[in-house]
Amino acid sequence: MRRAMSILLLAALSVSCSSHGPKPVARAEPPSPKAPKAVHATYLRTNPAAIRECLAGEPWAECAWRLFIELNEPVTGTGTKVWETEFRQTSTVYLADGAAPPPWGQAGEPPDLPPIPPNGCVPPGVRHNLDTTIQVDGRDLLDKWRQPVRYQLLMNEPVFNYIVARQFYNVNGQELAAQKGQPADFPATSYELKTSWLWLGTDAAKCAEVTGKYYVVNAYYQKFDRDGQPAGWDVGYAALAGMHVINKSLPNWVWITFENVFDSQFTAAHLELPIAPEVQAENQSNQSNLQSQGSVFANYQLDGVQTTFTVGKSLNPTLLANSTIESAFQTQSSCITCHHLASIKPNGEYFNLAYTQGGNVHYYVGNPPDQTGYNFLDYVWSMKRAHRQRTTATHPDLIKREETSR
Amino acid sequence: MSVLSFPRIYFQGYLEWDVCTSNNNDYLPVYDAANAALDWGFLGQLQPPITPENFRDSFRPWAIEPYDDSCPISTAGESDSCSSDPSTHLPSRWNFYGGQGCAFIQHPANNATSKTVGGDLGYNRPASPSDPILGQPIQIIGNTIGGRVSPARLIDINPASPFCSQIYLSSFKAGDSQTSLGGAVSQRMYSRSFFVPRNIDQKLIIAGAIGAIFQTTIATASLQTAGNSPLATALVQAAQAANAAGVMLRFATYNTVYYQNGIFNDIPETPRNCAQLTALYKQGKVFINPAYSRVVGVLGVWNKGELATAPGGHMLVPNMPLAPVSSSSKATVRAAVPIGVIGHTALQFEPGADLSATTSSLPALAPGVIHAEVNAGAGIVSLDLQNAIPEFTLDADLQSDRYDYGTIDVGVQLPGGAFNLIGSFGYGQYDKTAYNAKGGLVDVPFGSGVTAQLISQWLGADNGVLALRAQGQILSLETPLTVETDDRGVYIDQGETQRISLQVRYKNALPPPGTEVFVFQYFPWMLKLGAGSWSLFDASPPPVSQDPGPVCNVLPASPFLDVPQFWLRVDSQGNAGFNITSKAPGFPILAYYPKPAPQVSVSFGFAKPPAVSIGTSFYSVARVLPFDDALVNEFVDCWNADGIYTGQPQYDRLQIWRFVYRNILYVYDMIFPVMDLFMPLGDLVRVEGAIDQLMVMITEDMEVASTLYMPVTRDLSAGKRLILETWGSLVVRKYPQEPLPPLQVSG
Repeated sequence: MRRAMSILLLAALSVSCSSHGPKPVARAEPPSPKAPKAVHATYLRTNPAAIRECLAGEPWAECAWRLFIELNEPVTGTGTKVWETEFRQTSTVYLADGAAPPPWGQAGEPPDLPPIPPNGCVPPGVRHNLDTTIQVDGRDLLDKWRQPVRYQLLMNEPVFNYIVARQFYNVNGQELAAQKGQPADFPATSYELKTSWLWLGTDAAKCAEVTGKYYVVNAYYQKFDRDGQPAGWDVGYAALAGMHVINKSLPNWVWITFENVFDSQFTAAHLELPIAPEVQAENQSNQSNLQSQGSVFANYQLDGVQTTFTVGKSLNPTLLANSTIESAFQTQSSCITCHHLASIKPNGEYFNLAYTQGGNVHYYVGNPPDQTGYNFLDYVWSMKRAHRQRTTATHPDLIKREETSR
Repeated sequence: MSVLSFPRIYFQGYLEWDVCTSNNNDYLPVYDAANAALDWGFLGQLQPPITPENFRDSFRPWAIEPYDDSCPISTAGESDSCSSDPSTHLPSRWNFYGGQGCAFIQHPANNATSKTVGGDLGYNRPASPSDPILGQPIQIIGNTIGGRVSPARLIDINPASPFCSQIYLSSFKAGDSQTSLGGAVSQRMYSRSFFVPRNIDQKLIIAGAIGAIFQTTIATASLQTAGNSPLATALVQAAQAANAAGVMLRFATYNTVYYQNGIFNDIPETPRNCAQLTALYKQGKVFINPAYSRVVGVLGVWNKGELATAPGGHMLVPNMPLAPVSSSSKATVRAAVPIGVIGHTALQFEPGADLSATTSSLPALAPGVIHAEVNAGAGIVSLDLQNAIPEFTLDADLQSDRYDYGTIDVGVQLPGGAFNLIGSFGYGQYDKTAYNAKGGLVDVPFGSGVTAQLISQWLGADNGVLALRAQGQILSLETPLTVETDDRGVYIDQGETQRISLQVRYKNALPPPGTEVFVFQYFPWMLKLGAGSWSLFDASPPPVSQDPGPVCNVLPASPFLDVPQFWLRVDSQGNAGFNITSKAPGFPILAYYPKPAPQVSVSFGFAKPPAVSIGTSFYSVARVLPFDDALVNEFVDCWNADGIYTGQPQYDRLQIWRFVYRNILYVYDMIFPVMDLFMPLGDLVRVEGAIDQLMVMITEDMEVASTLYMPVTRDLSAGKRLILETWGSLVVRKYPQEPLPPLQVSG
């Protein structure tokens, strides 16, 4: 039923474009609102070839919007969206004790999680574990209520299966791969999401303020004391501020990010990189269509799409940032470059995202630096969230290593 | 010839000082600076006591509660006391949430802008007022993080002393996107040529009476320009000449005022005194409360052989105080004249002075240090009066007026007392208008019959010295032998030896053969807080009478450094150097004397030559960082569950975090709460989440010059850095279950 709805919806929303080019920043032809609407019979999110075909044949921004809409179906109403059930939160994969995660579909919620007091914000639904407030640069972003914006990382089933198969769910497994010189190579169907959220808690006034502007979900997070020890749960509601969508339909992955158009009114950040004209045009078109349906997703915009390290054949780096996810380093934010650095040494040391030059602290952009000595993790930085398995090793290689170290 | 040559670009404006003040309390020993620790001895005596067990919850609330002075008891008139009792202050002082930033400000709402205001292509060749480099904003700029610019930083080597300030910066820029001149600077700036009292309005508090000079340079290769300014082009061309090394930036800061939110910035919280500040803090408001200084400065040529950070030329020191010959009828100042400054705190006055009495009859005051160059080609003597003429403040908006000493003669005083006149200049060349328009410089043409050759003869064969004469009295007198260094501020670690290089000049030329210099080591007095003078090791400093306990009169157990105990030979190029080796944590002052008999004590305020004050001395200040090799060993034991940690959990995340926090990070977590906005240092999850950044920001490479170095105050010892680096590696590697080998602090 969902698939049928999706096709109809996309048929209604889609527009065709006759102009195609390899560089998103160079595209300038807006889609014609009078053009005949195409019917997309294939889901992009499960078909890398379809994405490649889309990227090759349509404006990249349109492909990104198709993905975004697919992931957020049904786009109207408060019903659970596709991504909320088809993706799994990394908190259920990289377990604190480094143990193997429960099989796909059996993650469950923490047993001691209290219920969310209803306050009329949204009906009960999937509860999201918004388990961190820390951005890549180590900082947080405060919202207008002086609460930190929260984040959640998710993966689809192919990513999960690959991580389990390679025992990448703990640092020990990643170390072993590095010791053996066996880099990661995720399947082309791999997807990850990174979402950012305004924490509303159970404050009805906050809910009222974002209603109609933001997509709101049921949510929770674990609290920690100053020494990093668990200190209970906070439950409530949260509003979707931004969403990174990445997939491996291309060897260097495809990097897409959306954010809410009201974010600068609700957070201390604003988007610093310009949105390319063709992306703006695509935003306008899709927002208009979604608005006509009464969809809250009309309030989201595509910031950009990134598939290359540099612009064309030049050495000029491509940049992409979401104001709520890379808030304080937007002008040095290159998703593709940063994620290329996802790598680990045989001793478990991850590549440092930051480097210094002339007293300045930089983040890598453009062509990646030398990573000799590190084992490639195929752009999946979420693996850095893995913990070390500290119990007696059960993996034969780990046992062997322990014996050797003795 | 420095900035005293041509071309020149003049600027004026305001400098914001957003320092965090809880590490430099002048009344309470909150921070044990020498050991980079909270002063547990003092805090443990409070009621209720603040201890290593409860400080995480008790220190910050206490730091924003007014508290009676411990030592010295403040009696020095109006200060930032928290009530009518002048001896009550905030333990965190006036800017608990400061981040050490400093910047020229642009706040047009109060006409508080910092801009280029004029220039000279040559003597009597002023730049066109329409030159596009004029009227442009000026900036001192810090390093970037993730593409964002950080501010320049004010860092005192000894946080309790006002005589060793440093401005760390990355670059300077005058101009906008169309027209500009600037570039990366060669090194950080140091406060020079202290002048107290420079400003004497009775409303001035804290460091309001102090003036100082800052200087740095931009090497020719680092110069960046834009636009078509004839003045900027002329300066760049001069900076590219064969004998030039680049562009020099020199400015004076003075007339510092406090509690100015809403006036020089748009911060909504606008406390005007300590009581209001306290009330806002206790409401939970988190905001900065910077101080603001007036600035007058100049950009000129940096010539080869000139130090980057020390003004050169003939150095004239104050010879006597003089009253002004006239003053504004609005002048109303405190009748008592300050004689010095205690730390960063209130002015010092003669015992028994009536601090409530005011007068419109201005007292006799000596000028500040003056640097001079004889420009033979132009037939002038150029004087740097940036920080030389006292002022009395008329209004709270910093529009101060200056002492009118009358006409001032420039000449050469001969050994017999004769004064050979070179030229003269009137008040119109050093009053407020001229001062602001000309960067504090005055060019005095040779009088009739005076030639450069004649001046050379007076200074050379006739053995005279440059002097300024006013009202028939010698106001300023050249100190012929100067000993300056770009190693003004030195950080030295446990077991480390460093070399300090000196540049010696005699009447602004190479010194005669056989010139020697002696190095004497002083300690700051008072030792633990509010250091406003120096005391020679092995001599007794003046006791502080109010000491209620072992705070004021603590003496150092031993010298902090090993320094040469012999005369330093100066080579034919005027260079000398010596090695120092660390002995004990502390803040030694190394003073350079041309004679073997040093002053036992050196203070701020006027000192009749040949006596010296801090403002007229030649010196370096060192920070001998704590010796933490024992702590390193304990860290290893903590991780390995060895030694005193035997029986404790091995390779344990929580245990090693508590060690790192309670021995290193806790100080910065307590003293610098601004870190909560970036990297809350008391929160393990947040520190772990920023470990990549922490690891690159604590490196020695960053310490040398970056405004992003952590800790920005540069009080992290080599031992503690080694611990943090090792702990960071454990964090990055997700706490591997393997023992740490013994670690060695490199010396």
